[in-house]
Amino acid sequence: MNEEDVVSRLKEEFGDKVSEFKTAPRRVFFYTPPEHYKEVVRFLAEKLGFVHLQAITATDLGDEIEVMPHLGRGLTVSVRTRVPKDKPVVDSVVDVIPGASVHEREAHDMLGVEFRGNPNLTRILLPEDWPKGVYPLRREAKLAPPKPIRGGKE
Amino acid sequence: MGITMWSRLRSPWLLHFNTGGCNGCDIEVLAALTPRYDLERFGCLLKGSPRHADVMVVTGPVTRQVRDRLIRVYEQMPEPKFVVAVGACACSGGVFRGCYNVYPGLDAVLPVDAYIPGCPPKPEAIINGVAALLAKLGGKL
Repeated sequence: MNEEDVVSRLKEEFGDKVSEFKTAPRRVFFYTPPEHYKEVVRFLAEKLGFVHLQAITATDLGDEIEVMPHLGRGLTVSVRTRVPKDKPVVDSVVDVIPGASVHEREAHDMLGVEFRGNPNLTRILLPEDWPKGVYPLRREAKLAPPKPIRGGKE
Repeated sequence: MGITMWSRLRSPWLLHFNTGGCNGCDIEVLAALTPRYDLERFGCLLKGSPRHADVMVVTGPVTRQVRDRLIRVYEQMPEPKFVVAVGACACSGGVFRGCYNVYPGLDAVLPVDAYIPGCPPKPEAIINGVAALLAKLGGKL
C-alpha cells in the first residue's frame, strides 16, 4: 500500500471528516476532528493494518494542543487532531492499540492532555511529588530548577 | 594505620549508579574496569549491591525523579562511604543545568568526595579520580 492508496481509502471511508492531507515519501499526514479521532485510528489499525504505534506526539500550538499518533507499517501515517487548551480532552485509543497507554501517559504528564477511556492515566515521567496542574512542555510554563537539598554551590 | 583502614584503602569496592545519563560516562567507567586500564590494580571491584560497596560512582544528571532513589541507595551503603561524581552532568548538571527537572550537580543532594569532569571523562581521568580519592583517604589517617 502506498501513500496515495492510504489517502484514497481514508477519503472514501470518512469523506469530509478527514482533511489537510499532506504526503511525502513514506509519510502521510492528515487532520481529523477529535470526535472522529478514535474511529479513524481504529480504521487505520484494524482495516489498513497500521498496527505499529511509533509514538504519540503532543504539541502546544498556543490556543490548542495537537495530538498526533504516528502509525506505521512500511510507511508512516500521522493523524493530527487538535483540542482546545482549556479543555484538552480526547478519546483514548488504548482499546485499539494497548501500547498507546505509555504514550498517552507521557502526553498527559507533559502537556496535560486528558485521554478519556485510558484506565491508568498516572504519572510516568514526572516525579510523584510534582504539583498538579503544572505541565512542563506548555508554552506558558516557566519552571525553575529544583532547590539544592543540601549545601553545595548555587 | 589500623588493619581495617589498610584493607579498606586497598579494596575500595564500587557501586555504579546512573541517575539518568546518556550512557557515555557508563561506557567509560566500564572501560576503566577492563583489563586494558585495570582499575582492579587498586583493588577496585564493581559490586552489584550497595551493602557491599564503599564508593558510589555516580554518572548522569541528578533528576527530581531519581533523587529519592539515589538517597535511598546511598543510605543502604555501610559507613564509611564515599561518593565520586563522574562526568560533567554529575559534577554540575552539565548541559542540563537550569532545567526544571535537574539538580545543579550531585553535591546538591549528596556529599561528594571527588569530582571527575569531562563529557565523558577518559578512563585515565576516572582512574586518576579514584587514585586521588584513595590518596585523600590515606592522608586523612
